[in-house]
Amino acid sequence: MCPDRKTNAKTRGLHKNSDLESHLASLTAFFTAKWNGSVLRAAMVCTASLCSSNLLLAQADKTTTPILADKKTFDETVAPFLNKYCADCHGQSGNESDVVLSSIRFDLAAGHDMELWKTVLRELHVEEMPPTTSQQPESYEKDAVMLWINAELKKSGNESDLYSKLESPSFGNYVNHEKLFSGEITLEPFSPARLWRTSPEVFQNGKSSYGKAAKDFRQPFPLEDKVGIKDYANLLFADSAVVSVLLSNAACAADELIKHSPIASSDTSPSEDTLASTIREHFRKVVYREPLKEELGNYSELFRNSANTGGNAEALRLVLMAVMLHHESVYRIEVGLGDEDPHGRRMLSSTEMAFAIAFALTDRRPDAELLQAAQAGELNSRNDAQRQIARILQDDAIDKPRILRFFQEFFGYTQAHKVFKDQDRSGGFAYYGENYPAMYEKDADFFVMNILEKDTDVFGQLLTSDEYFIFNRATFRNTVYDFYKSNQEQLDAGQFPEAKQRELLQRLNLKGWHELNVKYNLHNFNKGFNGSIAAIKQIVHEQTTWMDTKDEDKLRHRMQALYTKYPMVYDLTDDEQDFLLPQPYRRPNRAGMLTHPAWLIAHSLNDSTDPIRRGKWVRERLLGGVIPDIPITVDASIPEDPTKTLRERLLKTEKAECWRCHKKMNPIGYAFEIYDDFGRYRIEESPGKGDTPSTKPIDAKSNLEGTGENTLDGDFKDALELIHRLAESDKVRQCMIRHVFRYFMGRNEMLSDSKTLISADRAYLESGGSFNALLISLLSSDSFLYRKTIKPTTK
Amino acid sequence: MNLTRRDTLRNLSLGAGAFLLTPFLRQIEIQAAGNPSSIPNRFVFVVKSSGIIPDGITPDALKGKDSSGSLFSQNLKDVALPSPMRALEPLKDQLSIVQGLSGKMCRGGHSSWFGMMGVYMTGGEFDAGAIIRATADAELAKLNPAPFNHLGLAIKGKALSSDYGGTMYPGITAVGPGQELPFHGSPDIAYEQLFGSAVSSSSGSEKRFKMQGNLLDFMVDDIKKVTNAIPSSEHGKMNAYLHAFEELQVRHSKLSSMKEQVAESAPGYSDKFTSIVEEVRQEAHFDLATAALIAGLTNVVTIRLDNVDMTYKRLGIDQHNHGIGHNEGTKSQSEYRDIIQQHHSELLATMANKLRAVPEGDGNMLDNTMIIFLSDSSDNHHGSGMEWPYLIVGGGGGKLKLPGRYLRYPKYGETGCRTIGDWWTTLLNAYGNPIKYYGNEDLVLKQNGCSHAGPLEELFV
Repeated sequence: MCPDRKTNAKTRGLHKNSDLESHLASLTAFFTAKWNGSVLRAAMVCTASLCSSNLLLAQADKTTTPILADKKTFDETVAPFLNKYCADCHGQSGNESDVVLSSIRFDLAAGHDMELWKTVLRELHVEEMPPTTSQQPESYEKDAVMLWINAELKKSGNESDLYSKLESPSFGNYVNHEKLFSGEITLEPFSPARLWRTSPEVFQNGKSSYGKAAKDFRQPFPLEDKVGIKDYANLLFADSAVVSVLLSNAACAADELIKHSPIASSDTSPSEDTLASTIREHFRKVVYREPLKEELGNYSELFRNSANTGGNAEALRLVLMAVMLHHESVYRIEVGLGDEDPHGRRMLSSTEMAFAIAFALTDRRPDAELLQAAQAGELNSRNDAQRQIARILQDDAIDKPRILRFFQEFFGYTQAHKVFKDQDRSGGFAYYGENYPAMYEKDADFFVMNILEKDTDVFGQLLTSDEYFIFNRATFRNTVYDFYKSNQEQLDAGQFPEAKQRELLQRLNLKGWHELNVKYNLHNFNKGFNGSIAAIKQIVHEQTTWMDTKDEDKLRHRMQALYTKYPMVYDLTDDEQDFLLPQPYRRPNRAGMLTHPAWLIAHSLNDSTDPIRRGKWVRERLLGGVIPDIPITVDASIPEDPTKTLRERLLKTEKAECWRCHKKMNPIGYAFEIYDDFGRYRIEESPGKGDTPSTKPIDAKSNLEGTGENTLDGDFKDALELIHRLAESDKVRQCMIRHVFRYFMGRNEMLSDSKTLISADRAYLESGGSFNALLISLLSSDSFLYRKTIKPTTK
Repeated sequence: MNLTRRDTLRNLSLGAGAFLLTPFLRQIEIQAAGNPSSIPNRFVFVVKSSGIIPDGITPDALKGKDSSGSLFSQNLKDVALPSPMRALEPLKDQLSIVQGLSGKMCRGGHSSWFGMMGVYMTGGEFDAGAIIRATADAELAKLNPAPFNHLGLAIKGKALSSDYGGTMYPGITAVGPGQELPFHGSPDIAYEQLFGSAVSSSSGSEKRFKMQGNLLDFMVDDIKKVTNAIPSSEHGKMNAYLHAFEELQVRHSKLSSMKEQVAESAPGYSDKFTSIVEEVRQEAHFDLATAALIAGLTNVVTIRLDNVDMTYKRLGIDQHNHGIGHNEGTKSQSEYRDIIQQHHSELLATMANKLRAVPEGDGNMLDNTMIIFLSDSSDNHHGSGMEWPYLIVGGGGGKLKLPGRYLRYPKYGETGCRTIGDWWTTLLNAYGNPIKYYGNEDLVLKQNGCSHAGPLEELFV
């Protein structure tokens, strides 16, 4: 009756049929009946006997106290549920997914069938199963089963990571798109009252307030450099790694500060006032508010207790460190300090709002105007917020790095430098001096910024524009050189009137020198370029020395030898290259970011394209699709075959059990096969390597299914046709807006955010596709301005 | 028995500073457990700049020797070491030289940065670049925890930088993606952090250690208090912050309880620890590393021994390493390199001898330690990655067939050639991380039919 030990030991779930053969054989009679209602009683008996024997075995295996599984609930609730809703397809082997539930064991608490149970939990939670075409369980039935699974998982010491996963950006699409934009949802939007860990950029920009020693500070809040949106309120914690860096920063700063403190250098105990004013001053700088009376009291108590044993200097050092470790410099607190409204929500207080707006756009604490508005009671409403947001967006002098970062994270093109491309295969990629893919990322930044500056039809342009900016370092140098040569006499005489200075800025597509290093990927030693005559002459000197030529044409239009192969990914031949601004280069056979070399490289493998990843990107980011994690039993390798194209080799994924997921990705990804893994346009592929070279034509024809939108589904001949179709789609636009929402709210959307998203979409459309209009709408929405305390989730 | 051993150890005095080697508590613990497997594996990574020229650490009798297409192996006891390595001659039974492993998946030039122990290409001339994974030294530290899981000591910062002192980030060690580990640049501060719980060095480090306890207690109380005012759905975040301080409290009390052990192992405090002479600071760092290992404060140390900017003035050298690498100066490059190699060999030998003098299990501490001497720029001043020499002292707990051997793997591209990815995979596998392959693969090798990615099986015991 018992399965053999080997099978029993295998708790990895999603069983392959062979694992369960012996098991199934002994239970044939029962399982051929597929758990139908008439054999329910038999099912109970059988399940019970099967499982109790397993429990014995589990106990024999372990010398520790047995964990008591809740078998009663399993028998009374869970097994009948599986029988009713799952058994038709998952009762025995051979079903589409290869997930077999008939033999699932009740003693999950002892660690059995853990992965399988987790799969059941996930499918029920995200409403993937039972499929919409089958009979649907009542929500109380589902809840009971999920409650049981969670409880048993907890007993086994392996709580499901489902709930924390659902809070990550990659699970955002599980919220139903059609419902979100249907207009039927009448819930009032809010964000949960929350703590949000300080971002690395906010820390970087604010550290100077810690004193002179801040130049040696280390970043305590690094974000994992993963694909997609990174800074999510619910996923970031101040853990040991954070604290160890905070402590060493604080110690370093405090050592410096006590050197200049009269309290530290004195042997006598400071008066309460002196002490309090020192603490207050430090607190204001670091925590950015006045300390509460109680806080002051605590710090001065710490001082007194420590000074007794350690003396003034050491005691003050501790107090200064304690202030620098204050939890508000680690987490920003957004609980909503306004009055509660009839929906149980509280609006952010004016100070909270000032911080929220500043952090959303600028990576800095609020500027003087925001703070002033907050203090003057002029930051208490949607209109107030809109006025401030519009002001910040319009003011070119205010750096707003968060906006470009959204596009970097959304498109993921800044991952290109991580995909190693070998020099030999590339026909000229140089790595010794520079990482070429990293420079294409800068080109892509330029591409995005150009579209944002025009601020019209932004999403459409991002997907279809052919205005590429190439090699902005050479364009910078050549432009400065050309500018000097055109104005040499004047500049040599030391004359550089303001109008001329403006001309140089304009020619470089800059609004001011503060934009220089945002836009141009300059050498370290050129980063300080300030537009002065001396700086211009320095560039001219470098240009003539490095280019090693006197040919004026080359000096103006070409680039250094080290980078000559740089533009090949844009299909530029050597004699087509001209790096004197103004660009862009309009490129044939390209459409927008998804055909930009940086994006194509970022979504490729080391030595080949990656249709699966490219398809997955489009499915998830533009079509709101959901693709489950790769099952642990899958062998994800693609067979080598020098006679076949990659697409032909990927036929392996068209087996039924793979295709269930791969059909969502591969057909889209195949369209991009017109670009190789360096991002070069191509019409044929060379599958043969080394001694067996061969070429085969590229087949990029494919079709789109299951988008939920008739205008999208259908055949297309390649990526270009696909992209233009995507750019016209309402759903694609809305999906992009959902991602903007996630990034700026720092969380996934909920159904209750429906009103916010619909308004944002409308604001974007009514403004002719202005990203600024979209931002103003989102950042003044209820989702952004209101907080509501919610109960902890099931975890 | 214990007392006798303790007395023996007390009377042991080695080298400058009269090192008292009495890891008393730990010895008792090990003996009480009667279980030699409780002996930790220890690692010291000594990272030099400007490359290790393969011939520079090859015994004359073995120069130019290999067996093409397969691993060349020779017992070191039969051959004399090159003269700049003579300090290591008495340690030959515990010495190994590994040659011929390539690292073309790493950046060439002045430094491979994290690539050396992370096996991937990163960084530029001045910039250490992105961190995509924990480096091998940090991975080994995770497997061998101690109050200080990883101890980083650096003479200089980044490869071409002239910075020294304070907390340094030389760009070679990381504990996870984007998480570089700090190095101590000032031996006196390192001394205080390591031994301050038990020994007063300069003014009142012991006092400072005690007071750090006040700060931790204050933070724990403070965070607990404010947590109540925060919505319960967000308590997890505050608790994470709280636990971090509670963990430090635990380390703090553990260090307090190790006081005797730490005091007995701590090097005597002297002006060595505040010297600005590079060679003296190197000695100080080696003393700290050795003592920290003996006291049980750490099991994994990485020493950034020098950098391209450093000049060995006290050895009579008039060029910085960069100049030497570019054939500047009054002597030839190889003459300069020999002088420096002799100095490095002496540092390694001193450390090894101190560890060898401490009994442990059936043998001594050196039996359970691996001191790995390597360069961040592989085989030359401008490294090519064609081969990456390793000089290893110590028995490594008998887990690998290395001690006493000279090994040369087939040249890059030849049949049987292997890479540093395979090397670090071997180490991680041998010491408890079952990873199939650690690092990036060499795609050129792979495309040419040399699928290398896996451990060097022949080294496993």
